[in-house]
Amino acid sequence: MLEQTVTILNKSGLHMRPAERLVHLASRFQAEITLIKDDLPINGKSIMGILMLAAEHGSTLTIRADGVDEQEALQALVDLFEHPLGEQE
Amino acid sequence: MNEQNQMLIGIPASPGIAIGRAYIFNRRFGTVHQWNISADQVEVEIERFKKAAAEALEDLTVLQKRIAVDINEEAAQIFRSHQAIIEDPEVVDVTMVRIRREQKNAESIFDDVMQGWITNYSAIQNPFFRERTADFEDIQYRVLSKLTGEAHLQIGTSDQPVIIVAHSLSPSDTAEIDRESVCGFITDVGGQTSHTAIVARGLAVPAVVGIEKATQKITDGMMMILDGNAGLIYLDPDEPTIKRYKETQLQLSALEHKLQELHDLPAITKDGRGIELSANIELPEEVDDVLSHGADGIGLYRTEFLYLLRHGLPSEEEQYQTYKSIAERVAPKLIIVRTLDLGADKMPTHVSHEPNPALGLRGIRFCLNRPEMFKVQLRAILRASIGGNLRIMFPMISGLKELRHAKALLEEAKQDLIREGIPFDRSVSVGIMIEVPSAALMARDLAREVDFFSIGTNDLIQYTIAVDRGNANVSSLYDPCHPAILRFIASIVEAGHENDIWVGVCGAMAAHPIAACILLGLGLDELSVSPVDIPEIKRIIRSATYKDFRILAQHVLTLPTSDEIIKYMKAHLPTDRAILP
Repeated sequence: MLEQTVTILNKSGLHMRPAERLVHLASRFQAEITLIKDDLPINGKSIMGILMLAAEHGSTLTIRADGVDEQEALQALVDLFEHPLGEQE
Repeated sequence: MNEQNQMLIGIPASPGIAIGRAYIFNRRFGTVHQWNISADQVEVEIERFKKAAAEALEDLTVLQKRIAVDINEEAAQIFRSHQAIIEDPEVVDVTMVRIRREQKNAESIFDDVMQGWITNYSAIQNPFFRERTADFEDIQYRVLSKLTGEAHLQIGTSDQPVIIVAHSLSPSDTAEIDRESVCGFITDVGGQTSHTAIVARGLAVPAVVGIEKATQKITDGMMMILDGNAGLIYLDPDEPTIKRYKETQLQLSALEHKLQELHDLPAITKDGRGIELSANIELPEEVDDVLSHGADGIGLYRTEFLYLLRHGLPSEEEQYQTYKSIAERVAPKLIIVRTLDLGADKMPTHVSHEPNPALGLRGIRFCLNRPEMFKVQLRAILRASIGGNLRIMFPMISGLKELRHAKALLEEAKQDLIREGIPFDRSVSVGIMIEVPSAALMARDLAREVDFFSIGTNDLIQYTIAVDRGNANVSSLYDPCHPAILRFIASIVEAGHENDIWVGVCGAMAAHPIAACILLGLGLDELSVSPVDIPEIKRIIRSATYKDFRILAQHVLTLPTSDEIIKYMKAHLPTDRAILP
């Protein structure tokens, strides 16, 4: 099991469009993906769960990957967070 | 409920007659029935749920494609997110697990799963996230209607056009509506100049708004007659009423046909005074209506739609492409692009709510408060001006300080473009809306610093008479022929002409036959109305001499009440009486 903490960089937070992209990416891996914010863990492959975090710009959350491809999964997800999600400009 | 010919009275928002069945839009699904299933039915029930979800996904794919073409890719994205929710394991897998465990029918379980999420979301503090519950209800409704197979009229696939009945219609509701399959709009809220009314007139679809609790009094699929001229709805009409309205419908279409013949004739008075008769639009697809109704150009392009149909802000490139394509399609005719006028009744999702939005941070104030966002729009508009037929207009200017501030930001945007070597029309005209009473009083000073005025009568009337046009309790006070309004307009025209700039009117008043005659007589250079109103106003312009209009206008300026003004106009109008109400 691997974990890493990331900061939300995109301006309007984890709203619908970036959440959809995140789910799309997470679903490509077999590993179980969990996002944790303020002690609330949610399924990283669930858009409803991600939206429920109401993660605003500047907030931090922990990504946890657990499974055969956990290393690749965590790396890919962290990369996505480091480049503002779903905003073209 | 079964009583025939029951009549509902509302505010006429878009002219015309519609006869058709009601389609209750965006309502919460009625009662979702729950029943137990036997163990051997579980798999059948799960299959039924999977099939419903698959069908909903397919519908969303079709919708996405259509919106990507009709509106833009960004708007289509909203519905891609809806698909992600229908594929969410916390929704789909949970529903299937619970069907198996609880042995209940699919719709009751799915409804409960979605309801659980919606309840959780309602508790979120951040309004931006909380508002997503509307999306979830939309999805819930979409899948449930697949499951129940309830006579759910799919807008866009129904054979007969329907009359949409909604509490209110948001921009994304409007985006989803296929105009081919809609013959009318009815809403619970709104006034003559509400968002729904503007869109309905733009699409040439009859509409009645402000019918209290229409969505409760009307049932889905109910036969109705919508009279958009009188503001009346007949529920479950009897045969003679239908027959009478079908005849009226024919007469109106004959009149429309006759007005179409005016298409290629110029908007010119009998003694040769040419009037710029242009159209107001807010969606790119309305350009076709502008051209087909014989307008001289676009007198008001409202840019709010780009901002309302989305969750984030539109990029410079996206705005540039939209503005440029409209400017190219109307060229060499003129297009006046109004910078973002958000606030008041438009209720965007990403702006905080104010106790008194009409007097709050809206129009130019909102943009001056967010200079970085504003400059993105100014750059996009400037770049689109390259064809030479585009003008820029600032809304809600209340005095010189704001005008100078806005012009300074425009100048900064120009300098940036020059530095970057990006081309634009260096002599682009800049004008302002006159819609705040303080600006009307300062018109002489403002006229020295702009290239044109466009009088926004909807707001000028609202602010001058202090009446909320969307509030049914006072909307009768909203009066375009109020002597204060006419005197205001006369003085604005005079101030503009003294400084050699042209003065136009964009607003519902210009489409009102009596008011239009007065406006012509007051010397307005331009009238900008909905595309559907162009032929009728053109006919009025062509029906008399400028001298006749002028004499009438000069006289009504001396009258103290609008009743006397209207009575005088009706008695002395030089135009063909047949067109008057």
